[in-house]
Amino acid sequence: MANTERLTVLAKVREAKNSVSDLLEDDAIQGKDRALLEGLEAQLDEAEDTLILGELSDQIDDLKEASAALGKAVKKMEQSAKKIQRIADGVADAAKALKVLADIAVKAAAIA
Amino acid sequence: MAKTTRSSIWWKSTVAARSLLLIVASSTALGMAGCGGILTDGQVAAVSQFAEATKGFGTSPGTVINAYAGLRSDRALLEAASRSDGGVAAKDLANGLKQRLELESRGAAADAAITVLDDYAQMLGVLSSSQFTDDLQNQTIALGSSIDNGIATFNKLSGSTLNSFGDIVAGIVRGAGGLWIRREQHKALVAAVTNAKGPVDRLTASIESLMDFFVGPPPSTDPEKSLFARESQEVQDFLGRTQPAGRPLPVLERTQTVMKQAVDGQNLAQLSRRAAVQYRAAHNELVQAITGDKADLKNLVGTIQGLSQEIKAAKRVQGEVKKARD
Repeated sequence: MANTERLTVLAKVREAKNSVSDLLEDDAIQGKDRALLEGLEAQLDEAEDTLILGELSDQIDDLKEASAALGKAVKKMEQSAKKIQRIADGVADAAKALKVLADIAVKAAAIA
Repeated sequence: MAKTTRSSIWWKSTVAARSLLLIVASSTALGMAGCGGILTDGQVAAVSQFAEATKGFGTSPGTVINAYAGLRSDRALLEAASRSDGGVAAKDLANGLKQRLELESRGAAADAAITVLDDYAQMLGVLSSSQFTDDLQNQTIALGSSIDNGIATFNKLSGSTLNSFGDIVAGIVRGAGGLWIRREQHKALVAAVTNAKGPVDRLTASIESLMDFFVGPPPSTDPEKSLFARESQEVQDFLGRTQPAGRPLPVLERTQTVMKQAVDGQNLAQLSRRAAVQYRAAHNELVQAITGDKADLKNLVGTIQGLSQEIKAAKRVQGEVKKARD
């Protein structure tokens, strides 16, 4: 789930970026001042990236945990499917045994 | 004398066959004891529909993250083009590339985590499959024919007129065995959907939350809360700056492409979120239908159809997003 504190900081960083961006649209700001603002914006980009990655990592950790829990349920389903297959095979084996008996009777009739 | 011997052998054989049949029937009865029932055709159809509808559900979140990763690096490119300071422009490019790689690795991790939903759909399909009883059907038809042929041969050789009963034996084995298998399938499915309910609820809620992070929690349409809308806005804002090399057509085209990709990414995230909500709702109805708490199959089928449409819509947009990136 979302980390609200991190998201609050992210919103502040974005506000700061918006302010810097507005200033960079001002043609009157040139030279060193402009370069300073550009550098600040790049640093804010970096901070924003870090916050986004942190949030994403937490969210994906949640996904992984839920995924592992469902994975366990899927394993149990695989075991159930194997058990049902064993039952089906057992019934089929019994049917084969009956077939063998019928074959034996025919062979016995032929010999006697 | 010979006739008596043949009849005696046949008698012993049929006694043995009946004994074996009795063992099979007893085992079947024992196997069924204590079970709660068998799957109805409607339940089997609902499980199959759900399994079919949710195939390939797990790839959307990764595509959303990758779409954003692409936008982030494109924004870096356009931002660098707007810089008066070459050093800052280089830093923009490095930041954009680094973030893109980090995001793509998280996209892959999200895809890997959600693959389990495809495994779950596949196992639901296996547990509700008629394959187990279809195989038995084929075995018992062969058994019945073999017994009938055996009796016919026996009658021919011995001059007896024993009535054929291959169909009866086959019917008993198929009926009792089939019932046993279907009861086991029902038990397994009830256990499966019950065990999966919690993790599915949590997993779909996690997908929903992840998509909220990309497009903002509903009903918010605030572009500041959507990563996609923000990327689009930022590249448009660059056009308001005095560009070192003016605004050549390629820059404008690239800006427009980024804006389009932002819209596609946002749509995909919203569709993925809706599909996650719909998935949870359909799965909960499936759990109720299978466990017997609620047997409104018509409603369930409608919900699954809704889910199928959401997933198809997400897949279409996903295809467009991937195509735009490639």
